[in-house]
Amino acid sequence: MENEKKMITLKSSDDVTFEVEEAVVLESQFLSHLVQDCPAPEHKIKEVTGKILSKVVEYCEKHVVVVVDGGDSSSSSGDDLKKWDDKFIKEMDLSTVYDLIAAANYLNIQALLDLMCQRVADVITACKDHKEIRETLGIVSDYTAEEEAEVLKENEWAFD
Amino acid sequence: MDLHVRVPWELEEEILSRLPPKSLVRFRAVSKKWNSLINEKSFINKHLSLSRPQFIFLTKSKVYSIDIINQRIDLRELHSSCRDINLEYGADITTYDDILFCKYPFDSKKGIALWNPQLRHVNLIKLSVDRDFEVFGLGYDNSRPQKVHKILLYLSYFPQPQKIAIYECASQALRFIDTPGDNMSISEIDKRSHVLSLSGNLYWISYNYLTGEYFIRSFDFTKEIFKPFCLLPAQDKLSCDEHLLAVCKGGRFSLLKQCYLTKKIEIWVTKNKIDDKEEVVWISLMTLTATNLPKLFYKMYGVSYFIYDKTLFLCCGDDKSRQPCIYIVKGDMCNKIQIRYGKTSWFSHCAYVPNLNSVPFTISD
Repeated sequence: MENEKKMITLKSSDDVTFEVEEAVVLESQFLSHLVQDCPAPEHKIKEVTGKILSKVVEYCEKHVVVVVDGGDSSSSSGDDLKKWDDKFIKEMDLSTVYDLIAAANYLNIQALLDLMCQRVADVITACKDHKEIRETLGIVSDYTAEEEAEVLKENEWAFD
Repeated sequence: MDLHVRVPWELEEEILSRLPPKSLVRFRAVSKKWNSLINEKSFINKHLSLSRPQFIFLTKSKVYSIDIINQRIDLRELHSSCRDINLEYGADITTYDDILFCKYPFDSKKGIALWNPQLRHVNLIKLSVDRDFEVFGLGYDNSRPQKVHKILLYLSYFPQPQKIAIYECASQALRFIDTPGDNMSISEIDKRSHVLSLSGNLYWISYNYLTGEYFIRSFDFTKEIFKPFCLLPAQDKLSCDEHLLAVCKGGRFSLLKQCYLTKKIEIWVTKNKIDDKEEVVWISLMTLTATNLPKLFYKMYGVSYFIYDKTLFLCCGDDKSRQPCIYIVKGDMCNKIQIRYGKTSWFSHCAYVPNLNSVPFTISD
């Protein structure tokens, strides 16, 4: 084992650079393949902006440290991590969440993708009706007024 | 912010598969795309795989769902779609693939109910057979492209020699079949064992008196035969451990084993999905050693359980008061929460994963 940790530089689409340990990069399936295949010290990620990449790095750094220290994932560090995740998503607006979903999908970081999708799901669940969802998510309905009335009537019971 | 523009459709599916079923039904009116997605089999399966299990709790007058989140229980009364039935004398609730399944005593006929509380789909099926028949279980023929549903019945006033029959749901035809050669008593199994339904067949735990081993026996609805399926793992000869079989994620079995003396619980799961093609391999999942674990032996109204997030969730009567309780067990910790509901004479319960599957078949009465 080498004592000195290998550092890798990630560069966002708008040329913001992040210097991270190799272990952090390995949280992403996409980046770990990239680092293995192409051992350059710097990697440009054209699809992700600096603002979003900083969030991705923050998430991966947190998750890497806990696994190394805790060893056993069922220990209390697991609960701490959950608390950290909760705080991480609470401070975020929906637009950032969407960007992070796209980034987590592109970089293939399953845990981050799960976390972000659950966050949007919670926002949708909290909506009182279909109109509020359309408003919140900016969805344009493709129903005619009659069709919509019919679907609503069929599923009226779900609004109890 | 437009989700359609910012996030590709496949990721929108990822998001929607994390919504509770009732919200999805309520939000069918958002767009045609959402509405049709909720009916797609691939989406239903994805949704099921992410859904958090709960308990269904049935009493004489009400049906509840029990969600357990962060050491708290959320008891919700479900719409009583099945309430026009007389439940004076009790009913057993269990699952049939991913649908709730009840055996009911009707006034003059035998009957079953299939039920998805999330969609409020109910099928009450009265069998055109004599009331002396007891329903053992429901299944289907796996060999045909269209599932042919059948019910296994037995004549209750004929313990020996046994009379076992198959009832075909579509044709309402009744025919007797061969009884197993050994001294297996189907009425005893129905009374004492928890019979599981999985992919069209029935499974339960049996004991072989000759070898002193516990094994799983099954009824194959395709071939219409009883057969030994596999042995239970890690058996100590002459032990009186309690064994409880359940279906867990991905069509696999889980086995809860409790030591009579120490109350220690072991959880085992099968490595693969249960089918007839591969040999069953058991994996030890966890051992639970809390000193305040309930004794799961001889519970009057049974024990149901599921495993979620490395935690065992149990539903059964308290050891002393017999009041129904939920136990949350992880490592060496066990937390008991009493289920607070109106007093009734009996209760029945099962573990259930909320889902969007429609109730499988309808037949005319």
